[in-house]
Amino acid sequence: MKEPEAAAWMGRLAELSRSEGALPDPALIWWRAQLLERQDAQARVARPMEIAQWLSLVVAVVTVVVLCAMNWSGIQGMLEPAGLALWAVAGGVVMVMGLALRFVFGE
Amino acid sequence: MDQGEFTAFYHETAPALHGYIRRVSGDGEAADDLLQEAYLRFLRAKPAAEDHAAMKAYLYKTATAAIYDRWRKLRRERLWSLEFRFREEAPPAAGTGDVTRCFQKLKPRERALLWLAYVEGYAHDEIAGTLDLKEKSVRVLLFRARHNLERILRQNGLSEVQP
Repeated sequence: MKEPEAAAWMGRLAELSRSEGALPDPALIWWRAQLLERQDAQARVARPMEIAQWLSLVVAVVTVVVLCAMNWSGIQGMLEPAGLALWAVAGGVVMVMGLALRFVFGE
Repeated sequence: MDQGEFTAFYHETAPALHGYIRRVSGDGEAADDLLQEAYLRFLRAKPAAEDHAAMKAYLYKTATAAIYDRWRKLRRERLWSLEFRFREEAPPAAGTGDVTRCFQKLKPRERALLWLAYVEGYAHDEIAGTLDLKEKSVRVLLFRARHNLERILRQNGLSEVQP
């Protein structure tokens, strides 16, 4: 197919395409763009705070792990007499705390 | 760009862009959403309202990206829903004639190439920029697209009909 023939077919197709339906309102698109821009600006402002929150969480977790490691023999001595039930309770507390943190930071 | 400039630009470009999206995506129902998405992406990029041709080229680039993103999303959804139909796009809108049906049988990129070249009258370098292709490839791909369109028209008994 030569170029002029292709152009003629495409012109016909463009005519068929232009004659169908009403287009969305440009004012609505403009308004949505402004809204998204405001949301972007808010997210930009909140970003450093979000990073600080996560950083504080990491510091807290590392501190707890280091303290536990340093006093491991004491913790073991405390938990051993109580047996499996206390270990299960301790595990449950850690999980609940993790979920609570996830909930708080997920907001 | 202020709202007045945008509205004028929209009225100038939207009808043709809507046709482009409709024909290249092959999805008449999603065309309005894709049109809005294209203009939203365009506005968020904060274009300078000086070079009209560059703005229009960028608009077509964002529209093409929006169409591709939609295809990818649909493919992912089909995969997750275990609906392995391997269809590239939705069927063409009903009641738009044989020419439209023939056009939908081309590959999406071929449809975009033909539209940009022969409806928008873009030069090869502009098409390359819009579709993220190499300028040298455009000539070859366009030749193939014309060849395939001719073949499909012939198969559908339209090759002897005047456009």
